Amino acid sequence: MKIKKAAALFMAAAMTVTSLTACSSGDGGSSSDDGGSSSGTLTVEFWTAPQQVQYDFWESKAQAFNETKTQVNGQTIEVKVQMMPESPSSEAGIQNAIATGTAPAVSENINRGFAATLAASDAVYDLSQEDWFNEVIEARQMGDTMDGWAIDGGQYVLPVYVNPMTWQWNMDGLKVFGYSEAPTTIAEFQDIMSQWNDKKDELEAVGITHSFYRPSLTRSDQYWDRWYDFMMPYDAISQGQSIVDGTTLTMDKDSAVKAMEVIGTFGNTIQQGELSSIWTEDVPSVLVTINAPWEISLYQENNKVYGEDYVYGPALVENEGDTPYCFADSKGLTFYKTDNISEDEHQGAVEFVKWVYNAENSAQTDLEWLEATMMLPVRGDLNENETFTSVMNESPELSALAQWVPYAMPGLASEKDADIWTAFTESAMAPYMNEVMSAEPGNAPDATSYIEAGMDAMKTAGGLS
Amino acid sequence: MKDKMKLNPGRKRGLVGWLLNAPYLAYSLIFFLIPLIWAAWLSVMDWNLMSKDRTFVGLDNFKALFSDTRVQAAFVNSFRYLLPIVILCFLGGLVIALLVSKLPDKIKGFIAVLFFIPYLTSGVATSVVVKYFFNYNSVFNEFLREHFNLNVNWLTDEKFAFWVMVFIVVWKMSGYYALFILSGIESIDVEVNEAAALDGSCGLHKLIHVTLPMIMPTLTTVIVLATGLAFGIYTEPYLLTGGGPNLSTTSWQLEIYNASFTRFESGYGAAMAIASAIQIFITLRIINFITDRLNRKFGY
Repeated sequence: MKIKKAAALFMAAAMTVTSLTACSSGDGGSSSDDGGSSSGTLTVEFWTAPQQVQYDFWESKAQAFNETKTQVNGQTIEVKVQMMPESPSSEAGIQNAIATGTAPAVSENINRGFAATLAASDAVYDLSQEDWFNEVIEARQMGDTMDGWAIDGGQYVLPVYVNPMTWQWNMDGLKVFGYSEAPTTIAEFQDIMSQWNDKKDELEAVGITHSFYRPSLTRSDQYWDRWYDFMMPYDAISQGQSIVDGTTLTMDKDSAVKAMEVIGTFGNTIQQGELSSIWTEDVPSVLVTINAPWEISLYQENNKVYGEDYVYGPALVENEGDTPYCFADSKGLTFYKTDNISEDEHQGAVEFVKWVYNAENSAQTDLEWLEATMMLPVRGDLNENETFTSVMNESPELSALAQWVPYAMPGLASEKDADIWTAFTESAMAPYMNEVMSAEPGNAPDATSYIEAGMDAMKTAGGLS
Repeated sequence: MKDKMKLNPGRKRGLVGWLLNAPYLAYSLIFFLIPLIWAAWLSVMDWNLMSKDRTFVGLDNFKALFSDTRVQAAFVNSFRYLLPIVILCFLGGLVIALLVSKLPDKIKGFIAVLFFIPYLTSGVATSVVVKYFFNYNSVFNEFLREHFNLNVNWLTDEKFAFWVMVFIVVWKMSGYYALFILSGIESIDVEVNEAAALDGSCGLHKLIHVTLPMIMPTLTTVIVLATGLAFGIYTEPYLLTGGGPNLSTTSWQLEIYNASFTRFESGYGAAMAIASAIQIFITLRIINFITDRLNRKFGY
């Protein structure tokens, strides 16, 4: 009897501990074994995104930099590159590394939301007053872009790439509705969706069974998907009105309702079932998706031609001529300020990044990045700088996306980003979708009460006024 | 002097016992007791594991659990998972074990190992296969649409997503539990079976009145293990549904993960872990109480 009681207690205890430890690992890696320097060498750890292509890019940069034998306080800098652990997300990997004193001196792959969490934790350096940082901003003509990256007046991230998130339209589908180009206004979009039922047979003839692919609309765990499917139309309709400013919810309610009703306009034609692939299929089965610029290489490998098979359209605006603001899927470099990183190591990391992005090297660096990843570097001169001309001419899809880079707005500067969007999904998006899925296309249900409930939930979850 | 140095046999046995148990005790201390104490400390803090500021919040994290809809869903779902998983794993394991026990000795071991393979398969691999199987454009779904005009969103429809999770777990674990039950069946004395046959007991009658009572301790083990399994579900909902739709497939483990490592509320996550442990402990005690009575009834 006692043994069974003890076994039950042990199982409960074991599950508690397992719950807390199973998802973290101790292999975060350390900045260096001996405090960063040995025999005149200063080892600087650099973590890349857990993608082979990004690792290869930064590894080549590190090797080239190491050959310059740059020194800090008499020590030669040696940059060591490794992929950041995904345990299971890269953010959790960074959290684990900071908690266990194994954070790198610098890493890429940090978005604005997580940067806000890191900044609030005082775990990263504010770069806004650094001369070298401002020189890099100038060299890459990122002045306007950086306003959107500010966090409580500071700058904690050097943005590396940006994917302006917009709509990706099926050309065959658009032709059925009499459009040769992607719609740009809500009125054009409503015109398309109100014809859906009438054109059903013609659409099926070209293989289209659903209007919009989005299985995650009701998934609160995938809170980040709201950046793409809700923030994108909201940014355009509100003309760039912020959603959170400091500790205040500044979301414009009318714009939020209209953005929600853009999704609602798809009605019961939304594809909520999982599809293993869409745009690489011989006959894509949906009219439109959120774009996925990181798949451009894949489309090219599958002989999909931009302008013939698919086309990017801007975030839908209310009036013709309005600026098509959209969400920026953008990440960058962050310098960690933790006890395991010495001042020399930090300086070594700064020297490396300075070398990569200085006025002399930045254009070449960004070109190599673009060629390697097919993701747009954060620059204000992509369509003007001659360095990029040949790539833009060869890839009209990149050129199309580049035009929206200046209007692409990164996520919330709130350490409660995840809570805010989780609450919004649970209180607004998911219940609204339940009503949308029984509505006819072109007749979006009124989203006002859902947005009101969502805003209340966002305030509570984010501690916002 | 020499006699004084000599340990009496009882003390010597005790010392050897401690010595042999030392590695396990050290393991438990390092990997369970210390983290458990640390988790208890973390549960009364407001800390994201990254900040240098750690705020003591007393029992606030525990109080917040009561009004958290995700915690409520995890609590309810743990029992929703418990019932079908324990019952189906038990029945599945029993059926497999009974079938295998009737096979010729030459192939019995081989077939038993075949049923064991799903247990060895990684949960991630299983989930990926299941995801493809239930995709909207999978062969299975196209077959259902074409032949039965059935359009089922298996993973995004509340009615089905939960049962897909249960199905995966039962498929994965039944073969494993079958090995336990099979060893129990094999250990029943031949004379018992012969006596039952002489008394005319066979088929279902023999199963209920002879076989099951004879392997009651084994069945108890299977039920307790399946209970622990039901409370520990994580990989399948994490990879397939994220706990949705509408929190219908979420679990304690998933919510603890989301709180600690997605929303970076590690103190709150620790409080959740402790709350779930209390629920598991109480549930296991109830199950132990029931199985004890059953065991006693059958003379164990």
